[in-house]
Amino acid sequence: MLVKVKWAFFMTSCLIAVFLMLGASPAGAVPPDFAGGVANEYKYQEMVFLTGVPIKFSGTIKQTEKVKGDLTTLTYDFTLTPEDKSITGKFSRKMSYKISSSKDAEVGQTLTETEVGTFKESITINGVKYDLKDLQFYKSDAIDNRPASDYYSGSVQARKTYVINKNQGEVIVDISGGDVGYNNFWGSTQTQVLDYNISQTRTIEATKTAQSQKESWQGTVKVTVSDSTDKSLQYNENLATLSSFNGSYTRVTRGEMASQYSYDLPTIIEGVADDTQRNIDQVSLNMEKVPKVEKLLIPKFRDTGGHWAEDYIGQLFSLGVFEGDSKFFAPDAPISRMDFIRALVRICDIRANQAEDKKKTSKKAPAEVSPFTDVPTSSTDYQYVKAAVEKGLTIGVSDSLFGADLDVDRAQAIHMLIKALGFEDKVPTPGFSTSFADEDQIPIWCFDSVYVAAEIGLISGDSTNRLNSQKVMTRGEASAMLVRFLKILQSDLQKDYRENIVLFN
Amino acid sequence: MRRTAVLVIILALIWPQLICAAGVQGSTVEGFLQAVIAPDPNNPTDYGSVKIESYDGNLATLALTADTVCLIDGRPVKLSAIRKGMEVYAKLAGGTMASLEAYSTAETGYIQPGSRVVIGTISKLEEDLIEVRRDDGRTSSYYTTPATTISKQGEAINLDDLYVGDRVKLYFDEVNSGMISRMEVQGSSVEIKNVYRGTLKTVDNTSQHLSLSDVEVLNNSLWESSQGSWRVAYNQELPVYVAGVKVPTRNLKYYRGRSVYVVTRDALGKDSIDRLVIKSQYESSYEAQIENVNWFSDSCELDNNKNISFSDGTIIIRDGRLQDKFALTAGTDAYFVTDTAGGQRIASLVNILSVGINNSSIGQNCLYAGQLADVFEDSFWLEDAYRQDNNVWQSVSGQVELFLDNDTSIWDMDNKKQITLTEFVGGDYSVDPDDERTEDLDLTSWYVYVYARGDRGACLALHHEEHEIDELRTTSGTVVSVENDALVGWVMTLKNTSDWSEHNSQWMGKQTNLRLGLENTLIIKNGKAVLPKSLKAGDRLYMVRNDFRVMVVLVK
Repeated sequence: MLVKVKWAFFMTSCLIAVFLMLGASPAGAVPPDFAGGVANEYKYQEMVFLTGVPIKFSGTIKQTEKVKGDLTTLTYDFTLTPEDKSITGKFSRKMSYKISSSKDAEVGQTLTETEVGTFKESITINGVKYDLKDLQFYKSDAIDNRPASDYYSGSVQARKTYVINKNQGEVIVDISGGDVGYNNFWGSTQTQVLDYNISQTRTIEATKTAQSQKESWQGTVKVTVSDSTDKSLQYNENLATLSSFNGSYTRVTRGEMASQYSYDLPTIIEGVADDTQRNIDQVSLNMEKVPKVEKLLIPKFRDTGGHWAEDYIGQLFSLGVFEGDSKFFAPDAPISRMDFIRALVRICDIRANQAEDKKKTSKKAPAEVSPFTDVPTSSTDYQYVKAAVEKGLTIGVSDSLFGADLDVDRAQAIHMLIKALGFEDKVPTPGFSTSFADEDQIPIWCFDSVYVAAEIGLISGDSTNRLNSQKVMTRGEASAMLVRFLKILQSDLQKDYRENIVLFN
Repeated sequence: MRRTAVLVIILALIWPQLICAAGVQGSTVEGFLQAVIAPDPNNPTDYGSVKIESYDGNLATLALTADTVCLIDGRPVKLSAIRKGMEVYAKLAGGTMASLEAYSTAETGYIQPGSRVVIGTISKLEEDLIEVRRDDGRTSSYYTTPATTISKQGEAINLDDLYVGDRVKLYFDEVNSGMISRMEVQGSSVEIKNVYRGTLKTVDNTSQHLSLSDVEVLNNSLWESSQGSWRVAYNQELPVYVAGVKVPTRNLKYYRGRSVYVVTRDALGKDSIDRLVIKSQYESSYEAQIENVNWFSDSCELDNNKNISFSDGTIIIRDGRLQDKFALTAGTDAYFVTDTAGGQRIASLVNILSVGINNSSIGQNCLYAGQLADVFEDSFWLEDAYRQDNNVWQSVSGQVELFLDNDTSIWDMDNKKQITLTEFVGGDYSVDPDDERTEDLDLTSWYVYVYARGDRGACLALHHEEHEIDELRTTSGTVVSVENDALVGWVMTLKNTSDWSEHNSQWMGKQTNLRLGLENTLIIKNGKAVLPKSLKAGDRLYMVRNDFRVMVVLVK
């Protein structure tokens, strides 16, 4: 009996991870539901257009996420009231979505399908009640799982049918659009761009002064909503003078949701819609979460003070990307393949498939054998090499040698960083050129990576526009390039997936 | 041993013949791949072979070895990636195939149309040339073609609607082409919301917010009290300057207690500081015209004989947008806020007042006022006409012909209605004075204001009463509010207004808000005539008015 209970407990805790949060997003930044609403830890806001007039509602949202194998169940529970206290109303919506995913490990992609589980929505505004009677919802996403980040894009198609005051008419909201996003250790953003087509038909009851009349109108609302989190490093000087260190770094995690509604609705005059006079405008919502702060290791190298790469080295050391077992960093010494790979794997937070292997491996199975004689499994660096090779960041210098102590030149570094981003295929068909003056010296195997790296601003030429692709990188130069790579993961992706979509749509 | 040597000699002698017999020239084989024969799994020394039909038609079967390098377009691949039908180049060395290279495509350097994207801020506009400065500072020039589509928040716009300072996304169809195939323009969020002055109280680098006390907002070239204390977000890459010197953003906290000038924009639904200048010593302000600019010393001379220097940190605002120092040109009217540092006047803020009908030198737009002489199906003639394209009405000699189309907006202002092209052509808006009916009905031709794009009449406002051109004033300003007043009809309140002074050839800033009437006003927004309620707070206007009554409003 005890065994059964333990087993049930084990199953529950292992297979079902339940998060109950108030106003927070599930793992990875995802706007709640598909209504353009924004939330922080405490509050939720959303615009409602069912009456033909934009009305801002605010209140609370409860979200849960259950993961069971390849199936994730998301539930939302909204309780809102109008912000404008001259409007009487209440808003209640309970939704659950089931997200099934199938991963193709060979091509490194995952496909997901989202379906509605249950739904219940009721909105009352100035005595008029809108009940959601039917919801048809289809959503599908393709996720490209790359070493440093996952990128995804999806399509949404839905129709919501509301009944007005049980039998006075209906509002149909057709929703179409999609979402794009990325998710990595340093940040996560999802931006939804949705078009609402709203059509209302309603019979307005007769009053003492007016006869019963039929009313119908149509309107459109374009909703762009984005949820984003990012981690960045911030240097804080030590306020005290008599201290063992001058300053330290803090990792700051910020979260922000922003939405923009652009609407074209009828003009409502004394409760009746004039479909010929349009009310065209925009409204924006924004909510920020309180930044989370984490103190990092204090950099105390004795040979980096005043070096042009001091700040880059300090940041990477604080993150634990570089080892701090010596007081000397040697910023002008060449960086070895092992040091570069270790740094890259740590920055991307890539982990080798160790846990799974352990589960699958029985005690009788033969011990793991390293493919490289210079990096045995007993080496502390083995997991980094294994992770890098598994993710396709690098291969050995031969079938049996990794070349851990060999120097890294700029071409190798660029190639590995572009592979980590997963951008190596974003090149024209062969026969293109780069803008570098010494293009003829770029090895063919990294030509694509150099083209992409220049396009995304990871690299630039020297004062004579030479890339110097075969120049061995110093540890200081490698630090600068890795920090630029980090900035792409932290902020460039965020800007591209948020500002460059929301502000241009 | 001797037998082996003989065998090697025989092979060496007959090998070239064998190759030639198979259509192979020298140590290379070029042609089309006929077949890939996979290695025999039961034979560890078999690495597979390929059949190549050389360009001269001969067929060669070549075996791979453990050392044969397979490539596609120079990139190493497995043999299985090389497909039948591909053009290949096999290099032979020492009697074995050293490498087999295949070519994937004849369409070299192809990209999916629109997949190359450049994002940046327009720094120059000239005819079909657009210079864009990217976020990393790189500046490049690109070109538009008649096929280039331009849109702003989903609405199609014209090239002459663009401003220097606009943020754009450029899409290209070819890898090295400078020809823009599609352009998206950031919406109104690119415009600044306000300029404030206040005392820096706190700086929170973590949440990226700062707070100011004694906050004043710049309105009508005056600092007006705004609020006692204000917490506001700032841009992650906020440029901070003091006396023309850049200061790291993280050091901003050391300037607590100092006066600062900040510019805010809407950043995803919240106010955010985009630029910040710390006051160094003493502030002075002037409204003046730039007489000349010295680019070597980054300074300019004003018509009040003051010399002012500027830096990369100077906040320069033109057309509601932040611009670089090249917006400062001779003849520009502006409001200057300067800082005296080391005996030098350094501009902290330059708010350019100069505005015109056209957004850039690309525009060919102008206003006409005159009496209708003739109206045809696709054109009309004006007589006693005046033209305004540089703030000044100038008489036009003879008659002017302007063209009409189905997209022309025509408004009968006396009857407050929009009319169709047919109604315009068939109505009594233009009459023949010699016609009997004209005499019988005592008809006269109507007057018209025309917003013209080149020689095309885009928007027409018809009115029966003649307006004295000498009484018209050209005014610019920003909408504060628009309301339908019970007594006087639609009115608007404007701030930051300036009137064009013909006498001084200069924009003269007003120091109060302006209330103007919009009854019987032609209001043009996005090239189309609209109703007064379409005006929104924050809209920047260029208008022609007669005292309270506005004749034509152009929403910039």
